[in-house]
Amino acid sequence: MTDDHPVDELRCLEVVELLTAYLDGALPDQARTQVDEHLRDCRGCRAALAQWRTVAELAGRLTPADIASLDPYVRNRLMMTVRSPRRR
Amino acid sequence: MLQRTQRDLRRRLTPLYAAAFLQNLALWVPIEKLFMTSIGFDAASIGVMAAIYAVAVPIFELPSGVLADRWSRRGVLILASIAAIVSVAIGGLSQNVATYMVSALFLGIFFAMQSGTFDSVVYDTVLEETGGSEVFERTIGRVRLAESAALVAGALAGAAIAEIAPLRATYFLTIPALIGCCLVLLIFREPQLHKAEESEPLREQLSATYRTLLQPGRLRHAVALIVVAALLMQGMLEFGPLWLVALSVPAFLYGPHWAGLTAALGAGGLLGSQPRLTRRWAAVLLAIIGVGSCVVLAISRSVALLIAAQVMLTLVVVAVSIPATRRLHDAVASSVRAGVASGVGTLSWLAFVPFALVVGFVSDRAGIWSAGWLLVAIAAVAGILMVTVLPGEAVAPAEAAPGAAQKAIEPTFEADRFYPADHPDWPGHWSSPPAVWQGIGISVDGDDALAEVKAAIRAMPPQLRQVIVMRDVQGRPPKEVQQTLHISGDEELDLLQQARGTVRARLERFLDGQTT
Repeated sequence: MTDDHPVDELRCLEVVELLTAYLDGALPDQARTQVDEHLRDCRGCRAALAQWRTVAELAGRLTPADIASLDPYVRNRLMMTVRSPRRR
Repeated sequence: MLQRTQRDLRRRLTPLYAAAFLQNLALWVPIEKLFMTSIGFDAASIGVMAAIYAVAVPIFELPSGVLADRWSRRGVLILASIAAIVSVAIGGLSQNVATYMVSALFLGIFFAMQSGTFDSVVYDTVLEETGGSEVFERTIGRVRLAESAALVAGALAGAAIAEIAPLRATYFLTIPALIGCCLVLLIFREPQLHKAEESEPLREQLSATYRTLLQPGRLRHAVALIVVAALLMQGMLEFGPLWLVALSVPAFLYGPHWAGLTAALGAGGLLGSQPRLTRRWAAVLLAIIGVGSCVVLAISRSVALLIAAQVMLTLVVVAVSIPATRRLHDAVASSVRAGVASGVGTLSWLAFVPFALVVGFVSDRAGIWSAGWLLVAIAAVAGILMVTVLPGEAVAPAEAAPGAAQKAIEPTFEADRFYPADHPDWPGHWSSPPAVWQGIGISVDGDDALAEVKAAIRAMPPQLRQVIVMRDVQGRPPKEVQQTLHISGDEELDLLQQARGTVRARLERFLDGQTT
């Protein structure tokens, strides 16, 4: 939230940045109430929240094997950045 | 990361750091060219040997990688050390060119076995101990430090030994360090992760590599710059000592010479990470220094100037190759990154073969100074590529040209989807609100959507990926994630927010493409 904006009136621009904290239940009570009120009146932000849940839910369907298969890429990227043609 | 995890990791990696040091403590390296000349090598046969070597390494590279995956990485590292012992023993006993070439072949086997395997074993140990790859860069940095310290120490000690003992002694005195390396590797507890991991089919990787490497555009320039830079670097390491041989420089100066070159690897790395390096004036300056150093190599007869020029050239080449590599990765999709990375490496090796033969031939017929003009030509090409490639798109992902490549981090929602702050009615509210995915007639449940999520997680920076993997994929509670990664609750929320935003943006583009 920016200082120049009235605290009782969240803008969509600000609400979307709070989505993760909101879903985690990590917002202070007052902020949580404000987001709740905003969501009641704002269809766009409700859609954004739904997308956020979808993302978390889809990520949850990936398996540890999917994560393990990420590693060769990271490994190669990192090896490339440190690769310097060395002594034979 | 928890203190305990950090301590466990350090304790487990200590034998590997020691192995990296002992494996690179090569006392013979600084006087090798001098020794080779003494047993009958001339510039042409040195060129042939370098070329054989440049072909041999990529040939052994793949089988040794497969062996490491299927059998044991620690085992391959021990085999590598044994190959190095065989190499220096044959090298030290060599009386002629032929036996020394056999020694070089074993050195090639050593290098091929050691190169990819060491990084893999470090990576897997980090992953097994910490559950993520976050500290890999720092860890591999320490390995590089141990290696470069060993190279510098070996160079200085080797030159000192060569002053009081026969040149051959430096080869034999290297053997105890390599035996020590085998012993510390036996203490090391090998990670088991790779046993469960399936690797990408070779054919797929190769075809994707070729498609990407052959596509026209900026990528080609970046690849060309990396290959040309590798030529100059490898040329310096392989032929640099020949100038000293030609001037009959005493053996004790070979140590500082080699120490200077290896120290330039480290210093070039530091210089290469400076963002200012990608300004146009910096690229022009580096190009001038590179070409100027080669001109010195082509005309000067002063030992000090020649050494300084070689160190400067090495420094410039290492520095340039870092942003050039970043350019390459900016332009390459993560799905073919592995293939392209090894493809460029192979290209560099193969380009070195004719280069080594020509340099060897020219310096044999017309002297090493004439070969210096070949370097001037290559450095001029490198200079032109530096000035065209480096000042391209900015380094920071935030400033990258839009649409040029899949971005690693995306904003929660693009700023232009909201009305501006001075809008009379709806400042900061939606101008282009997101769609309700479930309501647009297509499924987000399909395998394609899931593949997009996976690809987005793959492409994001490690810090982000680690958090989303632990929270959303593994479903670990926030507290545990904060403790494991040693971050505050706010940092964790911030990283997760960015990670989910990045996945969301990619998914949205994918679903938009499905409906239109």
